[in-house]
Order: sequence, then C-alpha cells, then structure tokens
Amino acid sequence: MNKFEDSFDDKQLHELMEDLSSVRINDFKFTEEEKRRGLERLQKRMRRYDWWKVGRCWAVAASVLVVVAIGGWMYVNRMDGGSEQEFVARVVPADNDILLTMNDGFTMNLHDKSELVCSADGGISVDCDEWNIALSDEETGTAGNDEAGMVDNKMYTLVVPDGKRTSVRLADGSRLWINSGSEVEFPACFNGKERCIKVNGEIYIEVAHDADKPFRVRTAGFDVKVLGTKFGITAYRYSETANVVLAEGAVAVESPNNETISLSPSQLLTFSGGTFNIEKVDPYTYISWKDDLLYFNGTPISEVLQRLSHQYAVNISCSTSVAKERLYGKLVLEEHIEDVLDNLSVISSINYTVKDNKIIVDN
Amino acid sequence: MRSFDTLHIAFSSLYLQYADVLLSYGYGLGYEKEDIEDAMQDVFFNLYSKNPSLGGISNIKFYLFYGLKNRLLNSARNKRVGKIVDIEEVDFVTEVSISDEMIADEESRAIKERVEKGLAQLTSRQREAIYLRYINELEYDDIARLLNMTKPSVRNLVFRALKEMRENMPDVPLFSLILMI
Repeated sequence: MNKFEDSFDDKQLHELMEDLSSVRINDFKFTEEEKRRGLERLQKRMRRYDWWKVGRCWAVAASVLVVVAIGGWMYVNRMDGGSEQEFVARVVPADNDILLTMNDGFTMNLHDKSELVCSADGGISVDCDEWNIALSDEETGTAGNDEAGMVDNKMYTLVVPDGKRTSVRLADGSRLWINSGSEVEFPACFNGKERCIKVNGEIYIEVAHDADKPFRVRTAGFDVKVLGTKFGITAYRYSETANVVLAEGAVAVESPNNETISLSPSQLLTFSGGTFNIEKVDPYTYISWKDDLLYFNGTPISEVLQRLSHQYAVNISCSTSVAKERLYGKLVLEEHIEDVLDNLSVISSINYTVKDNKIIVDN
Repeated sequence: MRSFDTLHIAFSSLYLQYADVLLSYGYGLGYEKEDIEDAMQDVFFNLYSKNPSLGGISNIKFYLFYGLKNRLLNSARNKRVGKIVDIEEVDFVTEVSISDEMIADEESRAIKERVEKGLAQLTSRQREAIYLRYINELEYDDIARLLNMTKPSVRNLVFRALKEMRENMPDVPLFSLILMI
C-alpha cells in the first residue's frame, strides 16, 4: 500500500528505479579526522551537561543540610507563639517540573522560566530550541488539500506548579506570562473565528491586535473577550475570588450569569461569592510578578506570605500578631525564598526561621 | 541514576552512524559543511539533554533529518536578519555520482547522465522528495513532515516527479503509464 510505485507495471519506471538505486546523490562524507573532532565536541558537551545535572543534585543536598542545621537550632530556641496562621503551598513539587502536554499524549518537562514560542506553522520551540518534532504525529486528514498542511486542533496544556513560572508567545504573536500554580490550555494555531485559551490560575497577557479574530480567555467563572490589549487575570479554580485587571486597551468580561462588564484601563474587577466589584488601581502592582517584583500598598503580611508560599512552593506559618501588620513597598522575587524573607525582615519587623521544610514567621 | 557512560556510548555511535547522511542532506539543502556540523551538534545535544532514552521516537533517522533541517533554517533566518530572503526558495542540490561498487564504464556513465538529466528538470521540492524517498528511503509520512505538506500531496509530488524523469528514459511507450493514472 505504501509503496505505490511497486504497483506500476511499467518497464521504463522499473529502469528508472534501478537507475536511482545504482547511483549516489550528494554522497558527501566527513573525513575520519573531522568525524573524530565532531564526536569529541559532542562528548564534551554531554559531559558538561552531566556535571551540571549532578551539580543540581548537590545543590539540593546542600540545602537540605542547611534546613536540618537551622531546625536543630530552632528546637533549642523555641518560643511558643500561641495561635498561628498557616499557608500551605498548593502543589509541593520539590523537583516538580513545568509540564507541557499535547493532546496526542506527547509530554515534555520544562525548566523554570522557560520561554515557549509557537510558530505560525504549528510548531513550538522552547528556549530557542526548535522542538516541534514529535508534535505533529496525526495526519490532518485534509486529503487532497494541497501544500500548507495546516495543523488543526493541536492543543497544548501547560501546567506550571507552585514555585515555577513561564512565558509563552502564542501563534498569533500574543505574549502570555503564567504564574505559579496555574494551568493554561492553548492551541498550536488559531484557526477558528476566535482566538481562545483556557486559564486556571494567574496570567498576564498582551494580546496581539486582530480585529477580525477576537481573543477570548476562558476561566472557570467568566470569559474575557478582547481585541487587543494588556491585562492580568487571577482565577484559580480553588479560590472563591477571582479578578481581572486591565493595563491597556479595553475588554469585556462575560460573567457566569451572562452579564457583560466592560473595563477601562487601570480598573480592577473582582468576583467574589457571586457578586463583583470594580475599583481603580495601579494595574502594574497586580502584574509585576512577571518582572520578578511584588508591590504592596498596605497589604496585610498574611496575604504577602500566602503569595510567597505559592511563588516558592513552601509552607509558611505566621503568628496572628504578625499577620495583621501591613506592608508598603516592593519586594524583589529573588531566586531563593530566604533572600526574599531577609529583605522582608528589613522593611518590616518580622523574623523568620526554617524548620522541617516549613518557614515560621514571627516578630 | 542513569549511567552517563552507557548514554555517551549510545550517542557516540548514533553520531558516527548518521554523520555522513546528515552532511549529505544538509548539503542538498544548500549549506556549507561548517554550518551543517554546528547544526548537527545542536541536534544531537538537544536530544541528549531532553530525551536521552529516545522515548517515543520510532524513526531516529527522520528525527535527525527533521531536527537538522529546522536548525539550519533557523540559523539561516537569524543570519539574514533584515534581508528578506525566502529560504524555501533555495534550490535543493542533487549531485549525482557513481557508487563505489560500480565500474566507471560507459554503461554507468550513461545511467549517471540519465539520472542527472531527469533530476535537472524537476522542481526543487520534487528533487528533495525523490532524494528523501529513493536515496534515504524515508516513509511518505516523514517526507510530508519534512516538506511541510500533506501525505497525499507528497505522493502526488513524487508520482509526478517520477513521471517526468521517466520521460527521459530511452524508447518510451507512454500509454502504459497513462493507463496507470
């Protein structure tokens, strides 16, 4: 079936086949020396990569040691702080990677802060490495349709666990930042009348303008419809409240009871327990996480710690007396939570200690 | 933990096995030896760092071809920033030579000439398809992905290419092929 040319009962064609099998085309070879050098180069790179991986294991081992040491010290200096508030990371990952899944079952693990780029032809690349290889297995069924085998219905699901973040450039050029503990579903290309993605969690998106193809972000509670704009969405399925903040442009939010709410720039829409509320805010403070920054303007420390617990995938507990303290200013999301807490203890009156993989905050 | 040594050996033999084939394909796509080598390094290394067990890869040859082509096109795009050059326009090169086992006699020279003539009248895409199908024996599914076409249109492309080349063969009674269609 596959070799349709076998079915030809044609003398000339058979001769042609014979001709083709008896000649060589582009018969180029590396010299032995070139091959040896190439192989050495590859082996060197593989070895370096191995070391880097082993190095990462050591880093983990080292941080465990630190935790044990501080934990022991804590035991001696224990102060009983009475009632405590506790923030538990939703997904405790340790080495849980960001996971990219395609609807044909292909999956791939990604590093923290990986950058994904969807190309217009349905491929995807990660950190500039073209990696669309295993991603177009299915035959698209559009038999006879010439050339441009437009790949339909390829969907990617990106699961970003707590402690990780990532960004995606969608096939239409829109840019999407995905915060910790979120899940986003998006197609390889936007072929329909609308560009549509699904979000459970927190994202910031800069939608590429296309008047003919409105962009729609679906969440469990509401849809956001736009033509071209910049906005952030926080809509975790587990959470009672969700919000949309608009940085530029205009969006229409379609609530579950079919109300359409229009937002203008700098407006924050909050859904909570079936009702909604609009207020004027500095939108950047809601989306600054994409630039590794958190802004606070009288935010209770309990909220800040809640946020950090998700951002770094650690469990944090704090005494109620600290919880109410309010925070002003900005906090850089350093690579390690300890550095962030060090900074936090400078701008507020808190102290922190690490015990059994848990961080305890008090004053 | 996985043994790095075993993987290194596996990847080294993979490299040695496919180095020349990849060089030839890269050359056909119109690139210089150095660029092809660089791209090959990246393809093998990416495979090593992301999927060393080759899980889910059923046809490694196609996988390497695909990776190489993407790499080469990408690096060419990066190099030509600012200039509008349609890379797809580049002609697929096919240099015909007589294989080692054949004696370079009158007969084999005639065959070489026939194939050369036949290939010369094809489009670039047809040449690439013929090269992938009959020199490298890739499946139509794989060729379709390499050429970014659907499988039926690749079959069609190859069929037409064969037909055109066939007309170059000596004493042609055309009707038998026409019956085929």
